[in-house]
Amino acid sequence: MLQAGSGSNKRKRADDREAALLAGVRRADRAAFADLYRCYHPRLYGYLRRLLRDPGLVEEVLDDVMLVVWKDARKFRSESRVSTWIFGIAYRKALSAMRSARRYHAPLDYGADLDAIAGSSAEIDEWIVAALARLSPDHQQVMVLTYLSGFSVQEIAQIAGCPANTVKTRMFHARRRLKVLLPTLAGWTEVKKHERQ
Amino acid sequence: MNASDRISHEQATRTLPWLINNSLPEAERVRIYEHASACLACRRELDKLELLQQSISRGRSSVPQADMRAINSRIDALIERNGRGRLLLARLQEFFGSPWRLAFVAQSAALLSIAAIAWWPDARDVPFRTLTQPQVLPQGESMRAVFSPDLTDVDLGILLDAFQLGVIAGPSDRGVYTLAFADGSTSQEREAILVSLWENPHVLFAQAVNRGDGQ
Repeated sequence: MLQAGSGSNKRKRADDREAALLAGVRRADRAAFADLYRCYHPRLYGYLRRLLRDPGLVEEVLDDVMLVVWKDARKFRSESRVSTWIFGIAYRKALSAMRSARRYHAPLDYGADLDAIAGSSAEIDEWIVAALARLSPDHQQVMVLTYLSGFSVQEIAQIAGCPANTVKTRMFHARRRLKVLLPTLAGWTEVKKHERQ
Repeated sequence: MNASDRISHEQATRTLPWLINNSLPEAERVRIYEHASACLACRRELDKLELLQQSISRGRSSVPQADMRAINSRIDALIERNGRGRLLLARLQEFFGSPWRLAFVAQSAALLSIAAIAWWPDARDVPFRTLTQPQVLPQGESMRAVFSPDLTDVDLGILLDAFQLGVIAGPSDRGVYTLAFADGSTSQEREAILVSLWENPHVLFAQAVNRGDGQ
């Protein structure tokens, strides 16, 4: 079963450090910006990679996000955490990139990837990645912000600029949709496995 | 914990994802655990959500090394652009002595420009048109007329020919024609044409406009 959260002090220290780095960025301190960039690169990359999949596009959107951080550091008000503010920028950039990708590119074909799956956990991962890709951009965002980035309902509401109840409703519908999609994908994979044998 | 603190099954189910990611406040965590310990459906759902979270998190290991070359060059370009603007402003300030003097000069220049536009002869003589007079009328005599809807195009042509009237514009949305009298027609002739038109049952309205000869 899950353990109770005990890293609040650690989190507070991380928040203070990020706030200090952003204060440096506000003074156009390039070294502070480099530290903040390196600090956020893995988190933003993981988040964007789950939503956009194309690694080139992920790097491009990540740099777009950090450029906004550089330009708009003065606009940050300490009412929220630095992470919430930066992820709010990333949310909007990702949403716009996801919509463009959906408009201009054909749906992704996961068939080729599924052929290469050997272990069961990798298989589950593939099903989930494929199922996530079939959710709406808003539903994908709430899933990734919760399960990958670990944000609370209130933080996701701040990031997405919507009420907390809307976040819960989006998550509810996303879970319902996943339950429909996952058995379908699982069934399809079984057929593929049978074909391979 | 009393009964009012208890959480409904629906509330608990909706909150489970945030129990999984450890972001719930302590009091809420306790309430959800309290519910889940007695609810088989919630415990099963928790197992599934844990699997989902593990699966979504697994991709974290494959993050490439942060490469700041692209962002650094974009920031350099941005600084250069902003720097040029600031440099221009600094030079202007240097020339005018103080920022207040620069602001005063800029404001005076703006006011002078507005005054010049307002008093420029061409600006004052711009012809304006109203909704009831959408077309610029030619110099000379013209008239407006409205004809009966049952008048055919052929009959309209015959009528206009009979009085040597030419169509300048129309019909408008309301069926108004703007017609020109024949060149060199006298005021008596134009008056006679109008009287004839008023007597014609197919003419609902006829009125001279733009008396350019001063009558």
